[in-house]
Amino acid sequence: MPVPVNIDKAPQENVWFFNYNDTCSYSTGSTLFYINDLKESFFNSKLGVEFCNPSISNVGTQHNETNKMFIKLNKTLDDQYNNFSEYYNNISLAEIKSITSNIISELISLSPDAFSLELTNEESIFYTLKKDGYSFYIQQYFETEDDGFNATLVSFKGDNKIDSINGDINNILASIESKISNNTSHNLNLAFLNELSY
Amino acid sequence: MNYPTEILPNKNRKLISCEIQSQYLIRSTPTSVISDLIDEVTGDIKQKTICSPAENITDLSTSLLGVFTLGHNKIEISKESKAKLGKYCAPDAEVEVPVYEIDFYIDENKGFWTIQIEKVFKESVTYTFGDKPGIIFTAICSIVHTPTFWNYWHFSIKWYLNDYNCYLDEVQDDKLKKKISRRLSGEARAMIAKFAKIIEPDYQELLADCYTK
Repeated sequence: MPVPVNIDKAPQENVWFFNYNDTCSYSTGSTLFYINDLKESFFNSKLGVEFCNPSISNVGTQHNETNKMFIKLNKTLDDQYNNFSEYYNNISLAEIKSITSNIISELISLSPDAFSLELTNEESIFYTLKKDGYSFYIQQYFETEDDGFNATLVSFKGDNKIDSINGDINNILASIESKISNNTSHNLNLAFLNELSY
Repeated sequence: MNYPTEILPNKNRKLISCEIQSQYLIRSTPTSVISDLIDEVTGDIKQKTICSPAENITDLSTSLLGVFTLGHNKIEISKESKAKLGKYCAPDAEVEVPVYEIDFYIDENKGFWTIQIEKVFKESVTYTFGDKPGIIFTAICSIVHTPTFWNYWHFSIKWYLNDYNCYLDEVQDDKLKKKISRRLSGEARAMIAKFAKIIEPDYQELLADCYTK
């Protein structure tokens, strides 16, 4: 939901922030709305209707779904670790979770169409993320090499390979986000933005 | 049960000499239960289906579909004979015919995945070593005919390293080999996950001239 700022001041000075992170898959950006020129109450205005559209009012539901997905993936990791325990003498399940939980959260936050993970026999985890016709295959190693390497990414759009990169997992995540946002964020309700009154 | 001799090396065979890009490779899986083979969320085949944890993803054993059929895919070499029959040999080597229940048996539970060679053949990838700019290596996915004592139609999915003029498994420096392996593993896993299928493709046998002296 939008957060009112300067609520104690005159209504025409109120500024509402709407952070797209809360509802969309985009990783950056917020939108600033000035409503001092509105001639009707905010929630009756076009802008208010947009704020109250189903995708926004479902934020709580989405968070619940995200939590459910995280719990399910966590359980998957537990089961796989038990099956692969003979290949994991040097690292505990707790250590693996500590290395991967932030990454899993980041990947889930991209609102993938499909997402799965699998432990491998190489002390690594293999993530598959699909969204908007893209397929991203990420292998994250639990040990970082002295040159900073701990992950690879292979990206496809449809059946066409886009690129393969390697390096630090955080750079890999940034690359995925930029590919997805290049594809969709430019279409970020431009019509909606055109509706705004300044 | 007699061993199917059509899949053995023999004195009239040679290394396959024609284009095979439109052909399919097949690899056996321990089970044919679909839910065990396919990730129900992504629809891709699972990593544990691509290769078992004990195997090396960057040098993967397969067979060329054609004369070698789905029926042959159910042959399982016994543990005792694996070391002997699994060795590479010349295509025209004179080999002993494996004996049922001593050298091999039939595993009806086995499943398979297949992949069209053109999807992966000569796939090239260039990587840096981590965040060190300037130092790179280029690897090319190669489909190499590697007959074994039990299977003339055995092929390996391997990686050729342009900068070292050798296959990955031939790199002498173990540390370097491990670094390159770790980078290529994800590439191999991704390509196969993306393009492998667990259905029998529409395939054709190679012309006999391609493999006969």
